[in-house]
Amino acid sequence: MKKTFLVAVGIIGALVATAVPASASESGLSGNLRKGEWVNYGTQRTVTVGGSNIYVRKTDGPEIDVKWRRCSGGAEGSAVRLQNADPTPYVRIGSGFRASTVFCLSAKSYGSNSTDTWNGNVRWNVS
Amino acid sequence: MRFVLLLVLFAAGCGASAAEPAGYPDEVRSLYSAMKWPSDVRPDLEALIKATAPAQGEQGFARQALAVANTCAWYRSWDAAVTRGDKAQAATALDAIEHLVTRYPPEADTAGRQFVRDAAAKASSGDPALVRDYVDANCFDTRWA
Repeated sequence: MKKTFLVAVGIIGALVATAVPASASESGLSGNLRKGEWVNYGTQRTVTVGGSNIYVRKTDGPEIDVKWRRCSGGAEGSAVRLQNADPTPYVRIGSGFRASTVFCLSAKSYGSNSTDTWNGNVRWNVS
Repeated sequence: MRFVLLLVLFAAGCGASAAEPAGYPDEVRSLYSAMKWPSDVRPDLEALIKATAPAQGEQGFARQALAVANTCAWYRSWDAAVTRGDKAQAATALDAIEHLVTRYPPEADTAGRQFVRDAAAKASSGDPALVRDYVDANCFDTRWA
């Protein structure tokens, strides 16, 4: 009985820890990479929750830097490193966005190959 | 129908990266020419190129930058037309807001697709709140011709 209770608590705890709010947005990422050079990805995404953040994780690929850029130019975030070991945790790459901001993503490889690919996920409209 | 044709031309131009040896400025000019713009609100193209130009060796965000600028242009045109009581221009802009702008956010941007639909619905009912939010967030520093 006690064991069942502990398992149930563990499951609930895991669900809470990984839950994404209903307002959150998430999509898969897949992109080409160049060693030491930024590659800009053409999929635009829109922040609809004011003050929210953007998180990225890598599920496959070499060590990379990732950053957000306003698609219309004029603003971009600092580079955030995602290590080689996959999957990485979700790492915050930007915070406190104004609602309606349209952002794009860029990545740079630190792997051994001159060109490579990576896969991952991006979450936005989350605290 | 005309909007659909323009979008097809726009998308076709975007996919032709191998045929763009002239570089980013010409890519932006080419895409700009293929798009429908309001008669009263257009971006300063050279300023837009300068503001969005990629670093040496990088591929730029030409298509995305122009999609955002075009969205802002139609939103601004509609807002200004409503403010000055120009029903004809307001109707033209609203048509673009409902049928052109709503096609820009990609499948991966579910929130963005919902946003442009909501902005169109609010504009249709005379509410400029979302339209103004978008312009303020994305085009507050855009130079207009």
